[in-house]
Parts: sequence; C-alpha cells; structure tokens
Amino acid sequence: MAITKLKALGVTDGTLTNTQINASAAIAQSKMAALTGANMPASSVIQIVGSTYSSSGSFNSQSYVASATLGTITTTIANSKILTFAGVPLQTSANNNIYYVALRSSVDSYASNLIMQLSVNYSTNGHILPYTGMTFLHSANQSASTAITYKLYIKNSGSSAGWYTVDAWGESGFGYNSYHQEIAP
Amino acid sequence: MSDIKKVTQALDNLKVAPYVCRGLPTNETEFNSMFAKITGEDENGTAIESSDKSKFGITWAEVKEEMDKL
Repeated sequence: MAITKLKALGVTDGTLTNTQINASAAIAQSKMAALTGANMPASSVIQIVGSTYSSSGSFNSQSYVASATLGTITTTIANSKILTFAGVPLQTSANNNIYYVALRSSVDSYASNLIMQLSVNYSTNGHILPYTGMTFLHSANQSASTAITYKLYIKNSGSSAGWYTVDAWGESGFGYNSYHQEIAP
Repeated sequence: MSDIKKVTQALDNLKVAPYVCRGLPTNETEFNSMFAKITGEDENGTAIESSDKSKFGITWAEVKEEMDKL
C-alpha cells in the first residue's frame, strides 16, 4: 500500500527540499514570519520619517548657525544609510551675499557638513542662484536604535543682509516637509 | 513689511550682526529667549552663540523703538 500521509514527526528535520514542494503550493502569508529590515535586499527602503517645519527665524552670521531642524530618524538596523530630503526654504534679499547652506547631523554633534550648497543673491549684476532644497544619502553607519537628527546650518559671506528660515509674512498654517528614509545596507 | 522683517531691519539698523533670532519676538521675554549674539567661531566653522543678555549689545526696548520707526 502506498503511503499517502505522513505525520510531521515522521519527517526528518532538514530533509525536505524544493523538489518535494508542489509547483502550485502557495504558503499562506499568515504562516510566514514577519519581514524585518534585516531581511530586506540592499538599498531597500526600510522606513520613512517625515517632519514639518513651521517656524520663523532671522539670521545674520558669517559662521555656520543652526537655522532649521529637519527631524529625527531612529535606525532599526545597523549600518543602514539615510536618504534625506530637506524641504525648508531660504529667503534672502538682493544685497550681494553668498549663502552657504549645509546639512549636518547629530552623528558627529553637527561638527561637519555632510553636503553644502551655495545660494547667491547679487543685486550688483542681478545674478540669483536660488536655494532649491537638498537631498543627501548619508552613510551613517550607526548601530540599530540610534536617533539621528538633521539640521540646516547656514552662513553668509557678508553682514550686509541676513536670511530667513522662514519669513512667515504674517501668515499662519504653512509647513515645509522634510523626509528621512532608512535604506538597507 | 512683515513683522519679522521689522525685527531684522531694526537689528540691522542698530548694527547688531552677527546674530540669530529663532522666532518672532513680541516682548522682552521672548526676545531674550530667541536672540543670541555670535561671539566667535569654533574649529568646525560653527558660530559660538551667547544667550547672555550682557553680551547682546542691545536691549528689547531699543529694538522695539527702532521697529516703531519703520
């Protein structure tokens, strides 16, 4: 008599292979262990954190000053990267200034620029290089459960005029979003 | 002119720069908490900020008086 049923305990552990699985077999999702960040292929997005900036501030400094906080993301796995989209604008006036807009993180206590972009507003020759926001892929290389905060640090070339992040123009209800994506290593 | 521009214009007229003002102050208490004078620069190029009123070189009353002229 052919054997048509086997009790689970009758199968030796580790002996079933792909060959014994019927091509039409579909293992229910409910039987699968939940995916974790560590299971994801490299460069997969593990999580997204958003932060809304709705503050006002005026600055005039020829050294870098923290001008806007862009939010905090807490890593879920070790050595992940963080892809940051910084959406806080910069308002300047036509007073012959160069503005240095830098992204810094709490990983090194905001000591160094991850990336710096120039914005120019020159009235003498009418040249304007607007700041259009920034993106940056940060190889943070931190352990899991590390909270990383990002901030915009800005300085200007001369004190003839400062900058605003942001000038609300007497309005309320505005918000500028920044997003941080944790990327699998 | 927006309110924050008045603050900034007043600070510029009074030649207070370099400074930071994180927020829109409407009274002395708010000004003293939002304003900081840049007193130097560290080895990373980051401004050294002072929230010590004695180092502001300006008072809220002076800023407000200048704002009222604008």
